[in-house]
Amino acid sequence: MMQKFGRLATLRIMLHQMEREVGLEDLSSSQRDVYYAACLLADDQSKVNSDTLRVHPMLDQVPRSTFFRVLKELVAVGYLRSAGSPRSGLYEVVQ
Amino acid sequence: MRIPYLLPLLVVSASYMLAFALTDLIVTPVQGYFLPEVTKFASLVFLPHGVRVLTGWLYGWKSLPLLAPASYACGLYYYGYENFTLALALAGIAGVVAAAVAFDVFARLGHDFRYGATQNTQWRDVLLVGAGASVVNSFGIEALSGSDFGTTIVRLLGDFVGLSVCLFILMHAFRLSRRLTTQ
Repeated sequence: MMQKFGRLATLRIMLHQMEREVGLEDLSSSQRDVYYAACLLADDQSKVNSDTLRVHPMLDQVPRSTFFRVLKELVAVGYLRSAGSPRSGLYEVVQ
Repeated sequence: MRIPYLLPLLVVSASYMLAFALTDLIVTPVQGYFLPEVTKFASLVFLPHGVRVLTGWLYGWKSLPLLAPASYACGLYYYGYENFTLALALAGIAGVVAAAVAFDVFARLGHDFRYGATQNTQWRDVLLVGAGASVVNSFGIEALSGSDFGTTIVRLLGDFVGLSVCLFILMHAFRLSRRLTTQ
C-alpha cells in the first residue's frame, strides 16, 4: 500500500523541502518531521494512524505531549485532517 | 479489469501535453517576440522536460512507455504529419530516454536518486540529474537529426530552465491546494 502511494508522497516531500529552502515554508522542524512521516506511512487512501506514526524512527524520540500537540497544529494549518471518530487516532494527509 | 500503469500513463500523458501546450501557447509567442531567430528552432523554457525528469525519477526505465505516447503525439501536432520525418521520429527517442538514462548513469556513478533507492531525494539532486538528462536529450537530437551546435546549446538551456519552472509551478500548486483545503 505504501508503495502505491509512495511516489506522490516522495514528490510532495521533495517539493516541500524546496518550499522550505526558498523561504516559503511555514512549518516548524517538529511539524515537518511529523508531516513527512505521515506522508511516508499513509495508505492508498492517504490515511495514517497516530499509533503507527508515533513509532516511526523519525519520531520515536519526540515526547508524547509534543507529538500530539504537533498533530493538532498540523490539523489546524491544513496539512492533516481528522478522519474517523475523534478518538480513533486516524488522520488523513491532505493532498 | 485492472490495466497496469494505466493511471500513471494517463497522468504523465496529460501532464506532458499540458506542459507542451503552455510552452507552445505562452512561452513560444513571448520568446518569438524578443528572439525570433532562436524561437524557430528551440524553446528557452521547455516545460515538458520537467515532466520527463520527474517521470524518469519516479519510474526509472518504466518511464519510456509512459512518456512515448504524449511525446510523439506532441511532435506530430507541432511538426504536422507530413513534415514528421524519420529523422524527427528518431530524434524523439532522445527526449523519451533522456531522464531514464541520466538517472541510471548517476546511479552507476554511486548517486542513485531514483524512487525506491532513497527516501530523501533533494530537489537539487533532481535538478542536477535533469541537467544531465538535458545533455542526453540535446546532444541526442543533434546526433540523430543533425541540428547545429548553437541550437543544441539553446535546447540544453531551455530544458534546464523548463525543469526549474516546472518544479516551481508544482511547488506552488501543492502549496495552493493545502491552503484551499484549510479554508
